[in-house]
Amino acid sequence: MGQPHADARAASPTLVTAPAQPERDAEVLKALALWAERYSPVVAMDAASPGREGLLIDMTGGAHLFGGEAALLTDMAHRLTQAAIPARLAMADTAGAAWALARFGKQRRIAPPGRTREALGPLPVPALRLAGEDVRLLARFGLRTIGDLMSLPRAGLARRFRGEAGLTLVRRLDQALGVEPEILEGVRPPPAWRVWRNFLEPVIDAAGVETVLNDLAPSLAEILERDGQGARRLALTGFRVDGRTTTLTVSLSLPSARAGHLAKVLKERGLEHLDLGFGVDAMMLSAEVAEPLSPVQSDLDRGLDGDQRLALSGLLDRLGARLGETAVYHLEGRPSWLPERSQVRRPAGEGPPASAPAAPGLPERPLLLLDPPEPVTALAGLPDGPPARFTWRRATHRVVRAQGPERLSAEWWRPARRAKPARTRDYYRVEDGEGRRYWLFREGLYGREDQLEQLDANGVAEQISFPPEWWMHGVFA
Amino acid sequence: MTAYAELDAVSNFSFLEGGSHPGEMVAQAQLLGMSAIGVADRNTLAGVVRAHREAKRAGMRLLVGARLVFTDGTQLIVYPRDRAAYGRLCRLLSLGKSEVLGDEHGDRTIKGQCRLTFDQALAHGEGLVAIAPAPRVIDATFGARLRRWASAWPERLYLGANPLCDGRDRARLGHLARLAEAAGAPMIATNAALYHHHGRRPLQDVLACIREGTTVDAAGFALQANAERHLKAPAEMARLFAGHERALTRGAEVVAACTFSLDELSYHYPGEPVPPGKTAQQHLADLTREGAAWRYPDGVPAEVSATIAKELKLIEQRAYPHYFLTVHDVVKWARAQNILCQGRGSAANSVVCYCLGITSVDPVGQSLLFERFISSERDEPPDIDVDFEHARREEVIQYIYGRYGRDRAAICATVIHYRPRSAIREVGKALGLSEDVTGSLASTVWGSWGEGVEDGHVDRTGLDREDPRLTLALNLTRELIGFPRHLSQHVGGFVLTEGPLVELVPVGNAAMADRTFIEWDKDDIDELKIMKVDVLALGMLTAIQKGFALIERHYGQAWDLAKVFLRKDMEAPVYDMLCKADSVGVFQVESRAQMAMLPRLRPRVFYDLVVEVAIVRPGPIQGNMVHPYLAARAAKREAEARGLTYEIDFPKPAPPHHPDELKNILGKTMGVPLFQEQAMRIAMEAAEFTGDEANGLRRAMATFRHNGTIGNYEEMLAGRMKARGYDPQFADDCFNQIKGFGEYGFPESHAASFALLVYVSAWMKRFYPEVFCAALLNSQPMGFYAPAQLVRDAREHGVEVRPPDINASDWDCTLEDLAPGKVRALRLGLRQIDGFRSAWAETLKEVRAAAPFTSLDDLRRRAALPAKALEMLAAADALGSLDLSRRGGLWAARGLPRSAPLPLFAGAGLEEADGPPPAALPVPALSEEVVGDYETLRLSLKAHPVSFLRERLKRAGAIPASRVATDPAGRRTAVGGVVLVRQRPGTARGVCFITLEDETGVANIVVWPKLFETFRPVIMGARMMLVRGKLQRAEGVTHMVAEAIEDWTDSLSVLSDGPLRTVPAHGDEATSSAPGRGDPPRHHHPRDVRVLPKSRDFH
Repeated sequence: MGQPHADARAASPTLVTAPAQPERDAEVLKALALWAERYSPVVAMDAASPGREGLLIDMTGGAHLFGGEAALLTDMAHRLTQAAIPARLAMADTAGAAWALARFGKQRRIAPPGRTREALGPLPVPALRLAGEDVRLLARFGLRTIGDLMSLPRAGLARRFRGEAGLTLVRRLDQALGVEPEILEGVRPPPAWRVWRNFLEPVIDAAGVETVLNDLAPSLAEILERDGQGARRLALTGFRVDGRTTTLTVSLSLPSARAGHLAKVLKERGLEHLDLGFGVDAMMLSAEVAEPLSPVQSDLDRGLDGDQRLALSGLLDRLGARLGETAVYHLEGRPSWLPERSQVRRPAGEGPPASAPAAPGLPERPLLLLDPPEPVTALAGLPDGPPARFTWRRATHRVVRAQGPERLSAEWWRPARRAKPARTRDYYRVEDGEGRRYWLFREGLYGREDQLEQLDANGVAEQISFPPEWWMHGVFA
Repeated sequence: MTAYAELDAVSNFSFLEGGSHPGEMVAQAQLLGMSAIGVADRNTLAGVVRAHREAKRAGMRLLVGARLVFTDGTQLIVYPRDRAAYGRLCRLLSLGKSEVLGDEHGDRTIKGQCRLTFDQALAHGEGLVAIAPAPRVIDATFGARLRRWASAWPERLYLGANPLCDGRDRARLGHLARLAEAAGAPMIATNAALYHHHGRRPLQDVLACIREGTTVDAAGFALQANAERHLKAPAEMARLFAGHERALTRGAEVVAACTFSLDELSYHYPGEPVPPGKTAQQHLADLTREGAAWRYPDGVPAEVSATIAKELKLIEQRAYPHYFLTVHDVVKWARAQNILCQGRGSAANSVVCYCLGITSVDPVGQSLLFERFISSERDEPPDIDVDFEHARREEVIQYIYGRYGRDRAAICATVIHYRPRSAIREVGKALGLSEDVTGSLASTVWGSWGEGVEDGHVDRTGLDREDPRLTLALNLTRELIGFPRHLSQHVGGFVLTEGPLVELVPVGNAAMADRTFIEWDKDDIDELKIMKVDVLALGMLTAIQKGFALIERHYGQAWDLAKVFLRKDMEAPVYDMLCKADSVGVFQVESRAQMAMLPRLRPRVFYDLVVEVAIVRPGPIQGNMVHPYLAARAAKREAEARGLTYEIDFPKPAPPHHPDELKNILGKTMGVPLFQEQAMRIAMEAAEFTGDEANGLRRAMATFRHNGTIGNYEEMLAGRMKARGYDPQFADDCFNQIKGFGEYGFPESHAASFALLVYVSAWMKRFYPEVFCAALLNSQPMGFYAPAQLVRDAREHGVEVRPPDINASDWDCTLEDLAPGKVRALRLGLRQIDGFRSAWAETLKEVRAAAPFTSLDDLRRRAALPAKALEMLAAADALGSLDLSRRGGLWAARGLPRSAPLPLFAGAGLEEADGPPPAALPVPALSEEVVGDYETLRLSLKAHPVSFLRERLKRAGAIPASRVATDPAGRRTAVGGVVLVRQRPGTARGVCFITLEDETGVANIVVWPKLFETFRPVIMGARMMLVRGKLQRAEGVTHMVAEAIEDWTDSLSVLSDGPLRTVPAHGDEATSSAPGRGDPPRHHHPRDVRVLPKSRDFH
């Protein structure tokens, strides 16, 4: 570790490498954390020391639900093994001690209550979650194990470190020994309203999920109603046997606590969207967002604009729900010389587009852009004269006025969409006898791009003629 | 056809804007049939000499000018009409580059920037024909500006109109024509060329991306809309400017008005002050005479006088006396300041230079002389480079500035070009390749020159060559390589002028304070026949000078280079030592290849050292000249041993050519060409090169790395030699040798100067090993070996080396008196402590002069060093005289209050350190102490790290390195040690050399290519290895030819683990059901395994 890629490559040219993907690692860890919520609502991700990431699960008072500490670890190991997730597990009175034992102790180590000190003594100092330089300083004093530290006077020890490091060292030691409390912050606040089911046999299809849902919805409705709340967003989570979770969420336009309604919106959303993998062995239904069950109050400060905005976004919500979220979009400008690349669709849900930078003095563009352009036959002067007459969609137009060419080069860095290479375009704005205005272009320059090198059957390169082509790209108003 | 001249064109010296070399622009203009071309780069004249060279070659008219880009973003292209106007332009650009503009940027303009305003340009505008290029969007402000500029400009000011190809050119040109008319600035047709050919558009796009720090995908409108901004044929321009025919012909008007050519820059070397009533030549002759009397106190030999007379005559003919006087003056000044220096270069090998004190080797006595030290058919300025102590060169540079003034002296530029690594990185970034991809591509490039990334290398990175983006990147990289990237200052090439330098060439500020440099590089200077004085830095001179000073202080003897050289009675032991390859630290001959050569070459006289320095170089090696030379020497030795005379067998041509034509050239080198001059003269004699051809060959050799034109000479040289009846093998070897010189040319004159330093450093090592070691340590970083090896070598030569200590050490290493008659002991200086500062060491020395330090508290109070410094001293175990161990000292130092005691409490004892270290701190093992030494000093006097592993090595069957030289050759055995050096020279055809070190010495390993591939990971990665193989001995040098290699790096970490206090095993109960995957990565040991400094690797 810590070896430059080039060195590693020099040492072993066949080395298979993959770029580090810290974001992806974090996502996976988070997914695992969500899965681990099956054991406790408080699951913390520990990503403070890169390369030593892990999960901390607060099992306070919870181990008995799984048959005791040893049985809990066995169950956990079993499930993780099933899911092919390698893991090292440990359990102790404190988060710090469990962290140390999991990483530096024996496999599946449990420090019995009250025996933390003995368990930690022989572990090396990095087990205290210390920064590398602090570990090095300790080593320079010859202090290598946590036991070495325990025998030294605290104040004298702390004094040897710069800045906060001394305090951190002592605090880490105290946290591991339980002298100082450590509060775990869960990956997400546990939803106040949630209900659960575990199954002996995994549920493997939507029908099974529906049964479970019908079972869970009344229980959730019950606790919501008890608290006078209505769900605004529902989540149905399945805990998969492969150590992942799958979740279906749905937003409700109005808070609701009716079991039938809750189940129905989820079913309408489509239970088949849940990716059950090889099955789920537990499910949870939770209200992630809830509001008091009372009539919605309109926003008085916002005035009409606000209402209109709400109305528009409501419309977009409904259209999106009906037609699919990607069917409703804005056109957003993008800095590119090529007309068809100068606009991009942006989902309506992401809000209005930012204003795009425009090219200084860019000539006028047609209101309607044909994408892809349509083939045209045209008659024009060489080498780059405007068309005198052209045929488009089987109608022939005589050109009475023309402006151009506006020359736009191909974006050479993109692989050609068609088999033939992309060529330079000469655009013309033309007007026909009836006053209609068109935007068409010649693709390919005479003398520069009208030959194509191809390999013949014998693999010999030969020049073949590749005459310029005419295309209709748009219509002006 | 219309006579059209493009006058709005940039080259790639408008960095990250122009997409073609200046020469390409000129050549293309000629190809298109233009009548002339003007290349005007952004605020610079840096590329004009290259354009000029091409224009002269092509017989093309070139207008030299610049594009002034003002601080408000507006532009004006200017071309000087005559020499005087050119001078004003240079002055203007210099002003923009160096003058304080009174803005927030502080005193000095940032390097590479140029800040100018129109008003400044106006003040220098006399004689400058101007073209105001039309912007992309023409608005009212442009019209107003044009009117203002046209009426103010003292010369003709034109409006440069270029088509945009955006469909509205007719309107644009019409509009511009009206503006031109209204402003009285006639319209001139241009195409605002960014590159010579439309095929350069992708590269120009990439340059734009590099400039904007973006990628082609994101660049958008920062790129050009089309590929039309190339040089266009006159007919095409006529078509585009139909209706504006007058604008097309105005270019010719400008060309006719601007008669200036760079050939007019008649250069005047500054006249040196001479005594009244004398000419410079007379003064030089006087100085030479005085010098000769000083050099030859027993009377000047007749041969010397004759040579002097001949040389002086040549100097007079070529009008170079001022140049020699300048070099003499600089050297004389340096001597007076006690700065050691030595000249080299072709002219440096003259007796005149020896008499003037520029060099220290008598060329007559050593028969180093060339009958023509300045070749008269070479119309080139004389070449004298002077090396100075690297630590004090800046003083010399400032002296030169002081003597000639900033307006008459400046350093040459070095044009930094894109090289494969930088090119692939930047192109890759612009194409949006990830840093991993570009990084791994860049890493496959060995060395810094080449034409691109080779396909084989690409495959080795595991990347797909079929990937279109990658293909694009590789192709564009090939195009970008060789593009200028920025200007930097040359290491020490000074240009001196008689008149103001700023009227010859623009001068700007260098990144370093107090330096100014011109825009032209060495080749440009040569092209224009401008003379320069090279003021270079050499680490060995620093070491030798420090050594001389130490000898004088401790032994009371005054030495200098020439004195050492003249003591013939001390010679034999020095050569004896070198013959044994006992040369660690000796200048030039300390590398492994040189060490292998020494026992074979067996130098006995000075000229042998000259050969030794030159022979282990790519030239002789690639030309297969090494073995013939050694064989001839051996034969001669043998013949002489038997009392016979040895006849040198010279390569001969067939009749009717004279069979002895090479005798004069190769006489001194046993009939084998070894030096660059010999190769050149062979070209002239044996291949009958004309003067011009020889000059071309010389230039191709010098610029081999840039543009591989040397291949053109293969047929010419080898072919003609073969035709004249030379052995074909010899002919080919001669050419290969010249090719080798192209990479690292080494003429005899340089070799001779270097050989003197070889001799003097070897002399010092032989007679004053403690002085030599101290001097080298005090001059670090330099040389081939790390301090650990230098110290080790000194101890092996009987020097007592003492550890750094606060009560004994200075900043530098010092010598301490031992019993009389013995050599002095070497006390390591505090400079050996990583991170320690010289100022702290000075403070310590001053304070302890009153009384030695008695305790850490005493040290802290009196020296008032920062806590960090005390800690470093403790960590380096330099508190021994306070009875503090490393750990105890560190504990105490870490416990001290962070800041200096408040004055009120200073004497009150309230801030006592908190008692003795607790008993609980474990006592370190010796191995831990050694590791601690290496971490802070990079060496240890206590033990060698490998000694702790001796038992293990023995069990593995390894012998100590010291036995490699004595065990019988052919024996299969093993040796283990830390890796000092790995080397895979390009000349050795894939053979890898590894040097291992253990507590008994070093062992040389040879790895053949096949084995290299097998053990590649170990060879490239291991810091300690065990090599099994066979001992091979040839001419007194023993290698081990590797057969198997084991990586022992991990065993080094045992040293720092302490005495068997192992951490609890982890993962030993690996019951995880996914075997092999269940174990998390092993934790790293708290102490990094890097006990030893990294090996030095050479490719």
